Amino acid sequence: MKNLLVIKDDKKKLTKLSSFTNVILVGLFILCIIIYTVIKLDYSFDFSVIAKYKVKFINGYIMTLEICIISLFISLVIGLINALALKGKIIFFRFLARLYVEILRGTPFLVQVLFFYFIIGEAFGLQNKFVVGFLILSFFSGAYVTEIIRGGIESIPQSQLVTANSLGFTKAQTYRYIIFPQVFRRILPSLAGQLSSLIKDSSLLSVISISEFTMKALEANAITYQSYEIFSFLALGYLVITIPVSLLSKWLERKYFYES
Amino acid sequence: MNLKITGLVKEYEIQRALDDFHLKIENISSLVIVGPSGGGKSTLLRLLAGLEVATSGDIHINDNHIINDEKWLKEYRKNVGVVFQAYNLFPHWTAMENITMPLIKVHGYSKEEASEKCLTLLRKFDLLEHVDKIPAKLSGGQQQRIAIARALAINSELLMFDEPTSALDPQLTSGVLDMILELKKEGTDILMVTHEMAFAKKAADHIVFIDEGKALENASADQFFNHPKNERIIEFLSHSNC
Repeated sequence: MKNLLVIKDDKKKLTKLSSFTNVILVGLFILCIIIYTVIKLDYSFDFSVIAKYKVKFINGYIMTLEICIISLFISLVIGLINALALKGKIIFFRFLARLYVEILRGTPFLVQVLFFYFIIGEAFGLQNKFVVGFLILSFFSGAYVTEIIRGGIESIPQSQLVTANSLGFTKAQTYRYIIFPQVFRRILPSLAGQLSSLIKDSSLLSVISISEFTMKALEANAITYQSYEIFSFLALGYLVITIPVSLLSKWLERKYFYES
Repeated sequence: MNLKITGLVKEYEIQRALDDFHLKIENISSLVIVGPSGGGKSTLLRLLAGLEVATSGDIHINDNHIINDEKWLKEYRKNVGVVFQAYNLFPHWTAMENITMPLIKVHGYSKEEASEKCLTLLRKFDLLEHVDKIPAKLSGGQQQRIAIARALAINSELLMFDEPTSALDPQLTSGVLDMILELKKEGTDILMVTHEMAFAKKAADHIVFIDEGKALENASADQFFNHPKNERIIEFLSHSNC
């Protein structure tokens, strides 16, 4: 009985029976919480609201995906340029890149959204909310990607640079043919993780009424007040992407681990 | 190979690796640099290979006067093959790519010319079966031999080895050393830093013994091993395995 519930030896694999029992237990635990909230709120479910507002949800979902994919791409470009600036010889660019990374990583994303929307967006006359959305997200994510790429470049051993130099490769060639291909493979797991963060963080864009997934859920909720169904569905919508991305990240990590 | 070094000094932040170093050698084909660790051997090799610049002093190697000018050094490095202790190969490239990429990107070979040259070399040194393997799939000895093949591929007039076997298990070193011996027999000029005294005895025409940043001895291999004069060297030889 004890073996069913407690792990004695971490090296041994769990038995099927033990796994099964514990999955059921966790399920029951969650179910209890759900039942408690339903009773407490005196809630009656009506899942038809999801179907009713499906166009809203689908449009919001597509918008979220579009914003995230564009942002991932732009933040890669920003991250690359910044990482090179940090490693480069021009001090002005080094300082600028460092300041950018520190500010963007040191402030809450919500604050950045508000600042960008009400100040920078206004000043530069950015009317299109879609553009504002992916720009904010790109700059935010770009700071993290910078650090990922910088870490990747620094993980290439010095001995390779000496060898490249002795073979007569120029600095640009060394980056292009030797450093970047390796860095790219090494940082793929982290980049996949970054994509996952990006997708989750994009929900905060709803505060400036960008019609992404969360915004659409808020709208549907304001009309129907069927919060339970709507927000559960919303959470599920994010999990559907973030879980595979997280699995992909782990798989890439293992793959790299075995190859090196 | 001709070598003329005068008043060479190389200072690092905390130490002086070479201290008013002088050396003159003419017309030899293999030079082996030996001496205790930290004596300045590897520093000398890196200066000769144009990988670092001297604090002061002059180096003439064959027809080259090594000058402190990055552009000149870049050209010079292209024509000197260097094999380091370990991790010579780029881990993301196959053996083939490790040899052909410098030929294509640095020396302007076409892809076909480079592959042909690579295959000829690998065949010659019995490494053909490894052509498509990445370094992680090769033993340390195989990696070193491929690194030597890469150094040969650029037709360098001079090959430099910086302790090419010191990171290898003893049973892997012989393959690498045999390859170097074979090159010597074919008439390639070799400059090597090593701890393998038995090998030095076999392969060297000439030996330079470096300690505390100076050349304590500069003699033919025969004289160095059989009639050492300097006491430091007699002591050093008594500790080594030959």
